[in-house]
Amino acid sequence: MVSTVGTQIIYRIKMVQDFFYLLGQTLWRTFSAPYRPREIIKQMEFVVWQSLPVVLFSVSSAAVVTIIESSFHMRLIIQNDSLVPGFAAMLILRELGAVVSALLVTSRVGAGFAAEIATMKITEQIDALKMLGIDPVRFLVVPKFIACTVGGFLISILANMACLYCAILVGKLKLGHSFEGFISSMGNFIQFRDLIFAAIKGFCFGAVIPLVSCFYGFRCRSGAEGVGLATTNAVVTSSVVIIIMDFSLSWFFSRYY
Amino acid sequence: MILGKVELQNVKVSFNGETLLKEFNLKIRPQERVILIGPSGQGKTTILKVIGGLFKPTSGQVLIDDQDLYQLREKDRQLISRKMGMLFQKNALFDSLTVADNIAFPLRETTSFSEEEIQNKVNSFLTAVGLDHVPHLHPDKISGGMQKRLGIARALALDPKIILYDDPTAGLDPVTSRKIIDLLLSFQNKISSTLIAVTNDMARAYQLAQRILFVNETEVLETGSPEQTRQHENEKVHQFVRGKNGTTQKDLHS
Repeated sequence: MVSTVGTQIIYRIKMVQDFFYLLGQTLWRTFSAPYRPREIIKQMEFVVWQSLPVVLFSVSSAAVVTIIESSFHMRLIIQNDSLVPGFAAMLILRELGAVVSALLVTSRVGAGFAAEIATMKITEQIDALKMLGIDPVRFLVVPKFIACTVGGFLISILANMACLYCAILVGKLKLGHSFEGFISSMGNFIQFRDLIFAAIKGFCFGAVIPLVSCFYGFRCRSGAEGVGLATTNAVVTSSVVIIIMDFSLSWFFSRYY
Repeated sequence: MILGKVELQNVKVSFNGETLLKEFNLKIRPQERVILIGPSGQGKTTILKVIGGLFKPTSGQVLIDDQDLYQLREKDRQLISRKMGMLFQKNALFDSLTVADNIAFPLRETTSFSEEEIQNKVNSFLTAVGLDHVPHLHPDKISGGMQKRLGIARALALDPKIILYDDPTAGLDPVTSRKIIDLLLSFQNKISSTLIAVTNDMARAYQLAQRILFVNETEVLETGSPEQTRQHENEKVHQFVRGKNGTTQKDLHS
């Protein structure tokens, strides 16, 4: 029993070490030539362009639900919902836009990355790259890392803008707030820096997704089951890390509010 | 400039605390053809991966032209890797690339050849391995024998001085196997490289080898030339090369 626990602890420590080794390798190669611009653009298309429809639809829906629910409860408790635009905008910019879009990108892009790398691992394509003198981290991870960090930044801004737009639209059509009134109420609660903080969060979440996904892909051991496990672990771990990171970043940014 | 000399000094391989290969030494001269034989799961592929820089041995040194492969800086090791080619047991072809792009890939990624030079090289390889009629197909759309030939072409694309073949005739019919071995020999003569291969097919091993090594139960035993291997006095080698497992007819009936 004790030895099993000990083995597990050593295994976990080694795993964390390996992750930070991959992080170091990726950062080092991200800031040193040669780059693969075509691959970066291809990955950007996969990460940003192909994710945008599902991300925008989902976060906008979440924003609509949030504003309607807030209005309902405020009317119930304080008999008016004049504060809804401000609260909704703050909630969207500080949490909803960045976190929900990052979790959606994780489930789509992270799963894809992990499955791709894991399949390459079990079919020895990673070894084939090494035998051709090609560095798998530079070749496979760095383009994904650059695409996801830049993509996370962009997606976060676009998702927040879409959420705010939908909030204004619902506020006007369903809750009876005028466009000017909504903007004015929002202005009392949020500032431009909230959008910047949201973009920074998107950037950081974007960095987590390819690193964790590729890490589990490289660790894939055997067969179709191994690929499935690598994909599941990648999505679950990325999601948890994003939540933890969101907490840390929110706490850090709270000093500047 | 790589000549193709391979030397393994006191190499021992363990995995998860289990000994895969006991300490052994091996010297392979440039342009020599060495074949590893032995029952499945005894570490033949591991030896190839150790030589190829894919599996760090637990102890000992792997010298490629007197340079310790696992002590080199990453960049220097990559330069040596580019002078080694490997055909993997399951080919390890890049499934997202076409047949032609699989051959062009190492040339595009690691050389400064122009696209025209790359196309010329790819076309000559496609013709040499008899795949010039399927350049636009993906690897999963061609037969096992064709995949092997594509794997060989990709392994040879960078004109390697050391070629590692992991079971080049696995899963192929005898006629195709023979063709593959003829192809390996013709390429080896053409580019004067060191050839190290793993096979369980004794007929092909005799055809290809100058020297044979028998890998069994964590030990590596040099059995000499094909003729010496046929006559080898070690019981296990004797049984293996004759396709016997040591069980007599009497044992089977009892």
